Amino acid sequence: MSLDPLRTICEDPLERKWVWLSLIMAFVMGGLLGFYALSSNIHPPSNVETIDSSRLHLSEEFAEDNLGVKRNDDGSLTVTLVAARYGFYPPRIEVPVDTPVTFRIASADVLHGVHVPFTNMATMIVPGYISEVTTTFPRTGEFSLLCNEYCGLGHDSMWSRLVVVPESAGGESS
Amino acid sequence: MLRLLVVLTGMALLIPTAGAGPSSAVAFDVATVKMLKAADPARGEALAKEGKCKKCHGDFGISDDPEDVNIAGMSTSYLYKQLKDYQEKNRDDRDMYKVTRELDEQQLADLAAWFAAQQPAQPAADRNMDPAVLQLVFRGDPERLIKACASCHGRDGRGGQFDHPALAGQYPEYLVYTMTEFKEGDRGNDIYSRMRVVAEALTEAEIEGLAAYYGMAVPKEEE
Ligand SMILES: [Cu+2]
Repeated sequence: MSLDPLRTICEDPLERKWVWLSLIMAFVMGGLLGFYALSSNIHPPSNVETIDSSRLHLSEEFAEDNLGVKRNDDGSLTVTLVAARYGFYPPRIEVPVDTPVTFRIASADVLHGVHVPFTNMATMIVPGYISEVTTTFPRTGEFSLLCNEYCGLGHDSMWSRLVVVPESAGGESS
Repeated sequence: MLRLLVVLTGMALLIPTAGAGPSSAVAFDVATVKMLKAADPARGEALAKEGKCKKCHGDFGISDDPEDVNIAGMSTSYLYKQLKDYQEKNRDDRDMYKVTRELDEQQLADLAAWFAAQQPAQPAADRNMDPAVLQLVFRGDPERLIKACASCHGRDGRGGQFDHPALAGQYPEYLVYTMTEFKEGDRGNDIYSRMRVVAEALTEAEIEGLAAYYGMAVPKEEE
């Protein structure tokens, strides 16, 4: 133990033990992550699609009259959203419960994030790229879309509403 | 199934009607930003003389009429965007359409640069400091999805980046007028409805309170 390289920065042997323990844990977990990422060929989330953020409102997909909720042929839904300082547009969206929803989001200015607390919907919105994430909301109710990447003075008021409404499937037919 | 249909119809109604087109054709891409940086205030001054801007906007961008906007000291990018929007009828005003119709983009940028270089008007000394209004200015109202005014228009109301105008030093009448236009959908050149969303949620009394906070003192009639 006299060869302990931590000796120069830390006197207390108990403290050194804890430092070693945390270092080993960090390396083991990092190694595991690396092993799984390499062995099962995992890539960063979603697809890589680029878009010109400065001309977003003049693009086809993120044009102002193309935003919101759309139904696809297979019954799933696509939600097209724009994140811009300081909000998500359109500011209120409604989707049915237990239905696959694909969010396609682009930033009109700087780096934003989106997170819907109490669900697993979360992604980063990087300017110049389209973020895509698919999820299903298992519970009805009112949720918030929050920005979770600091984006400027109004970051703390950057949020909008997501309403998950009941769907007839699973209930009584009407 | 019927309920789902009702929900989907409801969602469709929330989306602005198709065919409306973009609310503004101006985009602050590299080319536009470069053009604005290279704009020449001296050429703008000559154009302002020629176009008789002072008839409504005063000699140096501060108007005599409290219903007109004070353009002195606003950002070049904001002024350029408004001029372009008037020209393309994305912001509706007969007079402004007539004077911008014949100008090219460089000339609009030059004009914008000249007025941006003028001394802005100051807010009134006895501005409205009602706590409810200050709350809206610095905190907003998250329940109604109202952002703090200061987050986009600056903590001093001097305006933010690109298309975020200065509010401080406008006539209260003009502020009420233009916010009411946003509220009622008569003005819609704010990209992605960013201002319309806020204005729709504000009450008329709140709009007046905010105008009295940001507004400049109205000069007394000259004897
Ligand atoms: Cu943000």
